[in-house]
Amino acid sequence: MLEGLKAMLQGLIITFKHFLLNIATNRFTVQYPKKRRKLPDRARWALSLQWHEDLTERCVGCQLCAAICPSEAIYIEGAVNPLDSPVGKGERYAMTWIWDATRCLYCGFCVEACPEEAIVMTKIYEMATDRREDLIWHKERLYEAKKQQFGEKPTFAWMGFYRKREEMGKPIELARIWHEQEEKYYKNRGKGFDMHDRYKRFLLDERNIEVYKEDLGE
Amino acid sequence: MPKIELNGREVEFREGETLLNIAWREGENVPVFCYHPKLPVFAGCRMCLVEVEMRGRKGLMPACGTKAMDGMKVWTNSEATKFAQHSVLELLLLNHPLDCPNCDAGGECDLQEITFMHGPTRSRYKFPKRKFEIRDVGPFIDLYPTRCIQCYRCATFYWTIGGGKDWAVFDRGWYTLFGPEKDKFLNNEFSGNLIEVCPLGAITGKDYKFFTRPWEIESVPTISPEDSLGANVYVDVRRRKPFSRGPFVKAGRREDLHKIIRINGRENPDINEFWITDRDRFSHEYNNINRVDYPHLKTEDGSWFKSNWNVALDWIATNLKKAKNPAIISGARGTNESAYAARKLFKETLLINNLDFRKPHLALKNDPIKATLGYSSSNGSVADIDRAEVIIIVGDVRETVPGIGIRLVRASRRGAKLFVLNPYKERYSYEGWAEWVPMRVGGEYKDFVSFLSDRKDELMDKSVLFIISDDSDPNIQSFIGRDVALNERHKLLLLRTLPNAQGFIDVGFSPEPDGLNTKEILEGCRNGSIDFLIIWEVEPLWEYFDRETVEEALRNTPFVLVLTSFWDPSTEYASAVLPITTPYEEEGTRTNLEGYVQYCKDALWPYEGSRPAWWIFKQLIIRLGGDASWRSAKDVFSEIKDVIIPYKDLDPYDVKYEERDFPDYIPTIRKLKRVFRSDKARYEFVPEEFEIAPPEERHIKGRILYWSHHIYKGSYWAFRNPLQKPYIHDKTVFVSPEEGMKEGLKDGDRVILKVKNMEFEVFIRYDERIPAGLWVFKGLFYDVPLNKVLKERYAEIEDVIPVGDAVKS
Amino acid sequence: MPKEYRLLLSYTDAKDSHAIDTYISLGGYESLRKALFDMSPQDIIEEVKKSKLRGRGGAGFPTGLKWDFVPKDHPGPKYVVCNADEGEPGTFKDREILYKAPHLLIEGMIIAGKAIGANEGYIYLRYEYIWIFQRLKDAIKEAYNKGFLGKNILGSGFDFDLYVYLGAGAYICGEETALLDSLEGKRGLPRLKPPYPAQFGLYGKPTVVNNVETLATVPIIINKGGEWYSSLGTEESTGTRLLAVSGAIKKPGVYEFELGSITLRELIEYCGGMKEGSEFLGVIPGGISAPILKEEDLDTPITMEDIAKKGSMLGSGAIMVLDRSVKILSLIRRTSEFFAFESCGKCTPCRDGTAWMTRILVDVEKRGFMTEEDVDMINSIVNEIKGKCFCALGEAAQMSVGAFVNKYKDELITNKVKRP
Repeated sequence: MLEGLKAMLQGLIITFKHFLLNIATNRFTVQYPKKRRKLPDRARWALSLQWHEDLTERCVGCQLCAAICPSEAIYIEGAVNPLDSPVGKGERYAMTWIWDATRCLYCGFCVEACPEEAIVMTKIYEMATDRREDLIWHKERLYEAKKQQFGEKPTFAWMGFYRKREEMGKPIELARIWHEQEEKYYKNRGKGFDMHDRYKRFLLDERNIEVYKEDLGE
Repeated sequence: MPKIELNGREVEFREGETLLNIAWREGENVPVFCYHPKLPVFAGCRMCLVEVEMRGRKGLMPACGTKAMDGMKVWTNSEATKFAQHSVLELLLLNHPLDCPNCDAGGECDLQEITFMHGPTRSRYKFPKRKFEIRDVGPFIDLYPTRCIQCYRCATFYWTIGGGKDWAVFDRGWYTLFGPEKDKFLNNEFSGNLIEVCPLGAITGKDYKFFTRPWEIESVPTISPEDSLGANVYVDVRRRKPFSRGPFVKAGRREDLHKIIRINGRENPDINEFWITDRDRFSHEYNNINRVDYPHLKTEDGSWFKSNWNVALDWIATNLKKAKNPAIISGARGTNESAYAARKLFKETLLINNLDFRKPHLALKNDPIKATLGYSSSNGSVADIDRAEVIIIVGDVRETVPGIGIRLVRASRRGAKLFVLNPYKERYSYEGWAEWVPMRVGGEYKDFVSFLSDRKDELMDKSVLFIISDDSDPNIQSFIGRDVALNERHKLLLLRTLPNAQGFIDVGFSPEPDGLNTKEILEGCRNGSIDFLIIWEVEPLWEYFDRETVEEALRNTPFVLVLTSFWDPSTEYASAVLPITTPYEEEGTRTNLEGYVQYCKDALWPYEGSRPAWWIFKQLIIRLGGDASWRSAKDVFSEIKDVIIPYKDLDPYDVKYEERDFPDYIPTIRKLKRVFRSDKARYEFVPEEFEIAPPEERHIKGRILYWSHHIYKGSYWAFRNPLQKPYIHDKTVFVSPEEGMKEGLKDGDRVILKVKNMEFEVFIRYDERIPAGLWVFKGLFYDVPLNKVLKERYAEIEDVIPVGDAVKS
Repeated sequence: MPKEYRLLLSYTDAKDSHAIDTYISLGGYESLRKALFDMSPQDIIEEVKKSKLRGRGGAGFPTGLKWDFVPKDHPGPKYVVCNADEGEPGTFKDREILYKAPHLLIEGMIIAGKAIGANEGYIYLRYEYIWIFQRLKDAIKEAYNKGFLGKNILGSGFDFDLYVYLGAGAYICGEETALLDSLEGKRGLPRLKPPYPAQFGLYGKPTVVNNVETLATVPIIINKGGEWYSSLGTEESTGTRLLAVSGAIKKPGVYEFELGSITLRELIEYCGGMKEGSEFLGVIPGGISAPILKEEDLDTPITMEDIAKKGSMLGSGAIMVLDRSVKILSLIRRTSEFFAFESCGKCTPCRDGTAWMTRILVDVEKRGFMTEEDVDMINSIVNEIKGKCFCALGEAAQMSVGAFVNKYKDELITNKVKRP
């Protein structure tokens, strides 16, 4: 009997502690459709495909993303790039590009595998629909996806983790900075280095934002 | 047994074995580029260098070209070997472009693999790389010389195995360039093998170009249905079944179920060794074109009614029940199972023997080979080409069963005497592999006999192999049959012009003993005695001579049922069209020309509503009150084993395919069971006189229109391929340049041929292999209805009227 | 001062020495008679073995042994092939015999044919000697007319036919198996050895391939005896040797010396010494394939074994004396370029390694000096080529370029090379 009361009290104390904590740190339930919480910068949601500066497609249809995809969510058919009206920069291009959102794990391996830096992960997470077919995104939608993401910037998944620095292209510059900071973080872990603080400092760093803008052509 | 020391341990070896063989057998990893087990040793790439100590002297030796000697010490993993592998790879990669994401071979590239295993991580080469232009060398192949590592595999294959003369090596050293002359197309029917022979992506196929990547592909081991050789192939598809076995559906498209990505050769030392012809390799795009999707029934007003299977089969069965005298003609393109089902429908359910697969002009009462030899089959095998001292070929092998060409070339290189008896020079006599013995059109038999008597000395006491196509003069066939029956050292290889003819004969799809053959069936249709005709996978209007008879026959038959995959012209005359599967969609067995019964796995999902032919026959048998309870092709075959005696001991469905991985390079010998044909028959059988009237000499003076097979245009499936269009000469008649000049025609001219008061518009193409006086038309009659005037293989041309200027066909 | 020993060259001295009458008057075709009538094939081979004659083409393989390897009881035809594809830069000794004493070669070939049992011979003449082509053909015609060639030579019952084949100007066709391929009408690529040409040569038949000088020596050996010949020269290098001396000397030309009777320094003096005002740089003792020798090695006697001890080789006997007017960088670049250009492309190290070296050296030449890294790079490539090539071409390239770079390393790196 007493033990039961003790346990109950313990639970109440925890609840009350969190109640006070939430009030103190101003954390309340967001009124979702009206209000949207800002996603963390590395949130990884729907895939999107990238263009070159001259609006040719970055994807060359090498299917390395499809190869690495653990859940077989990507399907690509290549074709010969017509010389008179080139679609991309390579000899081949992706004639069909299908991303199956129902199968995707959002692991970001595809972004990592892409040799042309054609795939990015956006912050589009509102994909709910009542038709199964709508969850299967085709090439057109994937190229448009970047525009639909509520003014937020697309995410580069852990791109650049395994690349040599001198081989990095511009979009990876961002990841490199992250990577450096991350290394620092792991070094200083437990020494009072705050993860949240790291993000804040990163976003405040103007240099980063410039790189960001340059890459996205904004 | 002699021994060598391999990496410190003693290994025994057979005399004459190379170090590479021993190392691979012992499981050591020795990388190679220029070595290929089926090609002569070249030893140029230096990738397989191993450290060897012999008589106290150490050095690097190429493992592929060094024969093991007793007391040799070999290291495949010493520092010196590793340094050699490292340096050779660095040098090979100097010029190799880093376009792996673009390259078709990426993922199945030897260079990629070996670089990952042994190579340097980065290049120290700081200068611009050597570059060449991409070369287009024909409708099948693309060359990317920039990627080439000059291993010479292609040249070695093309010169020694394919026997081609149009593959050259230009320049030398760093700038060595492989390929045909400028602006020339490859002209060898084995050219597709270059894609497989190339260790990287320097030679790629156009059918596969950029469509997908190797890791997306499922390779289905099966048999090529294109010709009666039955070449073993891998059919590569992206998806074989609509749903994978697991709970998830892979992302993809429905169209993939009906699309073959590419076809590759599969090793079978008895039949095709490793190599397949371009017809086997590139004939797969027809699978989506012009297909019949669901059963179609003709309504009374002549329009098509798209039906379902139950309705259609019920209606057909009702009509078949009513029919007094039904008949079936076929093109021998189905599987043995389907042929057996058809036989059961006719011979056991309807109790009528009106079934035949031969062309009408060849549908004789007596099979000339069976009448003389005792059984309707060849008694030699394809492998006999490698043993024979003299090979006598009647007909154009390249256009009928091209796959045996590699063995013919090899026989010629080995020193065997080859003769080709044909009205015109075909490939082997033109390229110098064989001696051409001209045959006069109309006097074939006499020329054949006089050839034999003239060359008696050369043939005496030699092992002779006759290679003769089954549509050549029956008198020649019976002559050879008699000769082979009496002479033990003489063998016969009967080339079947229809793919599964041997299987159809074996399972009893033939009118014997009292049925009607194709000619009589068509005659019966014409005069109304046959009231129900089934046309199964044959296009009589395109394949048979004497088109008017065929048309009249189809018109006069009350009920024509067409079992076909494509909307071909004979469907116009049909009362019902049932869609059947194409060969790669159907499981079953096929018997090749020498009697191997081989299992064909289904590589694709059946197109829309199409069904295998045996299923349709089974449904008809059930609806007509017969007994057929097969659930799969395997069930049908187990019944065939009970009924057909030669097939009693066969188990083609129990086939084990070896892995298609690196060890595949080590030659393997597969045991394939062959149909047992009693050799007793040969000695007990007394050859009866053949019942054809003694051949009369019918020489035509002047211009002869002569029909011949064509490797692509003559094939029921291959000519539908968009890829092969450049090699398919539509509306073309071949003449010799002298003949053309005499008529005042240029190459590519449009003319009107007047034959038997009918006019046909054709293009003229010069071909120096054809003797003067002969005008050769090749392949099916889908573009020019010349079979309206051709009652047999040749006819006289009455007049040639030039029309307009030269227009290239 | 040592004297020339004009054994072969004595046949070239007379006016019209190429004519058959001159040759016969000098005692020509006597050894043929001796070989045909008095000696069995095995006797001839034994005689040549006794003479310890070594191949004069570069590798120095004992000729008698080579002939002995030819299967005696081979049923089909056999061939004698004369390698007159004298492509080695700096070599012009065979030209002397081909042009001035072709009958010496013809006689040698017939004797070789008798020795191995061949009834056909081919002379593979390099394309650049097209001006000798007609003379050779005329000489063969003369020999036919006199009955030294053709059916039943001099009534001995031995048949021998001789043909001249003109190459197409590829250095690789000086390699014996590539030469055979070229002779068969194929692309000149070296063949895999073993089987050696002695078992599987021209058209797959047993074949002997010998250098012009080697074959021309054979009649003399038959005439004077193998033992007499082996008394000339040293223990390992017997007989005399034609030396094609060129470069910065006063009297370049073809000289003949008894092997071991003269050192390199004496040879230069014999040829009139260095040119006026030129400073000695080095000497290449055996054609461009041989590594260069510097001043300190000049006292080496000219024998195969002594020069091999110094890390070079006598090779084809082309002695090139270089002086300071030669830009070393250009010399290295040109050497490497030559090998890269002439590489047949069969094996990877030679094809790609030589071309890579050439690109580096072209760069270096433009720059005018070498750096430590360049030397390391060249050495590294040399190591990558060394011991991995299919035939001697790649090995030669690696040896000579490596020697140039390493021996003049100090001068090249510090940019002290004097330029005129």
